[in-house]
Amino acid sequence: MNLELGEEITLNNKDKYIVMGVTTYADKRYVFLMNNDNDLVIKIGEEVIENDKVFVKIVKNKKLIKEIIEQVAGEKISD
Amino acid sequence: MDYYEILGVSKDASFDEIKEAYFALRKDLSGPELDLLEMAYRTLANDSKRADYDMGINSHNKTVKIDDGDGFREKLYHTIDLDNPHQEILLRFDDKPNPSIEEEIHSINTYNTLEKEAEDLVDEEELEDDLDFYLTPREISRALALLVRGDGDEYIEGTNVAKPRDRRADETDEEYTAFLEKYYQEHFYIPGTNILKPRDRKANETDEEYNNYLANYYAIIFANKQIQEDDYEEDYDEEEELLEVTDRNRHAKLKKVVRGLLIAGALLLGVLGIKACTANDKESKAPYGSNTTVDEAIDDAGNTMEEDYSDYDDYAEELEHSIVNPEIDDLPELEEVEEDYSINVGDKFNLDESTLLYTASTDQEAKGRVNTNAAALGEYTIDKIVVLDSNNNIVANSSFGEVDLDSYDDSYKKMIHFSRNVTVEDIETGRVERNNEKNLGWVFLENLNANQKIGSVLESGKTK
Repeated sequence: MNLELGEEITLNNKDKYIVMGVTTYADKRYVFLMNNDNDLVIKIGEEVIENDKVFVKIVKNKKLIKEIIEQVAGEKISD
Repeated sequence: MDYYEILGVSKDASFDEIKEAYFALRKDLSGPELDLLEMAYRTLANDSKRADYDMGINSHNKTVKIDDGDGFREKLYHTIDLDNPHQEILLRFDDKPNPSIEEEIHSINTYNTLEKEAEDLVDEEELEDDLDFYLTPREISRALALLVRGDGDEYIEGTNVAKPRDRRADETDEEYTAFLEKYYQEHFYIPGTNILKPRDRKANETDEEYNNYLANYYAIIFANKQIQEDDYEEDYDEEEELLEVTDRNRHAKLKKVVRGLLIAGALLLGVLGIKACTANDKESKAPYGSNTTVDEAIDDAGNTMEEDYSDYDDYAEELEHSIVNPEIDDLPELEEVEEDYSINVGDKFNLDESTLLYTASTDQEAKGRVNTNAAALGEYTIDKIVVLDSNNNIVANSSFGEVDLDSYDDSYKKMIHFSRNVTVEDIETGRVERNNEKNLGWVFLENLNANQKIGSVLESGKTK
């Protein structure tokens, strides 16, 4: 059910993306999406599952983006 | 002239003989000659280094074609194995096939001078322009320093980065801090960027786990980069919309991710090049402080996720000047791997994506350009297969006959030496575009069985 790394997905029958990364933050699952036509548009989306359907809520909150990025980039520093 | 000749001992000399020869010779030597003698001694006096050295001695000098601006010329490279047997580093010496000791010393001196000049150069880009695809003088002296320094507590904990030197007596605090900043920048960041290198693979991590980590890491870095590039609104209060996933294709999988990362990486480097050029003109703060990746990203960050890409055309046009082959379609199509594939000397293959990531992710990566090149897709030829036991003793070497990988279990390390003989359009940030032929070194295939794939086979050479 969950989105997986490397999957190609279509949102609202319109925009195609590839799942470039998956991470969990504050008990929510986030995916890093890149436009399938490789125009370098990358978005971070929250995975939402409702009634056996998968939705993606694009994260637009700057603070949250910061925290998610810090989480993964921070892993490098602590290591 | 090899290390045995420098010490004046035979190839099967014992440790005592080597030691004796070293102490007898060192009394009469000084300066670079002494350095070379010490290098020879430190290599041969250490069993595992000696084994590595013996293994590499046949391919000690390599001729590589290099485009030096006026066309292709053959350059001689001198190879030195670093303390890790899976590392090989190419040093460029003079053009003669068998340099004498004087010539080698001359080469070292030349590079020492170059290094000094390099430090004086205000415009570092100019330097890179001249020396790209060779190791820079600084990289060479770092490699030499590593060789001379030997092993022990010489590395920054948890990394394969050598500790920086101590403060010199004649150095002020400021100078030393500046040195340290530069040192860490060079070792911990992807060259020419303010992007931290991903961590090394953990000992208990599987290939898949590490590849996932890398994919995540780069995805985040690129997302981060995208945030910096885009205009944004400071306060974004709009309600977030739920978008339904209407179609899924799980088979796209990593192949596309890796391609995406490569393209994204290429574009990113292009962008960074442009940014670096313009940044030099401003008195901006140093781009490479610690935590820069996150903090700067966030400071500049914003709502990148807006659908307004009005500047995108300009941005793309700008990129076209600096990036070769930005189209994904130009990448070579990988072919399916035959199931019964086994490895033989003379085989030609394309690195597949998992190998690609694996290769780039071993601790080879931190040690320089040679290994960075390993991350490029391309056609390779297997030159040699070597099997080492757990003590790094060579137990099989295809130079001396056939190697049957099946007869060695996982306790053995299997290495292939491969060369790449393909012309690629290389990416030069900024302005230069040129063709280069590259030569790659060892790939360490610890988990490789005889029948495992290493990539898409293009052509099988010898049969078993």
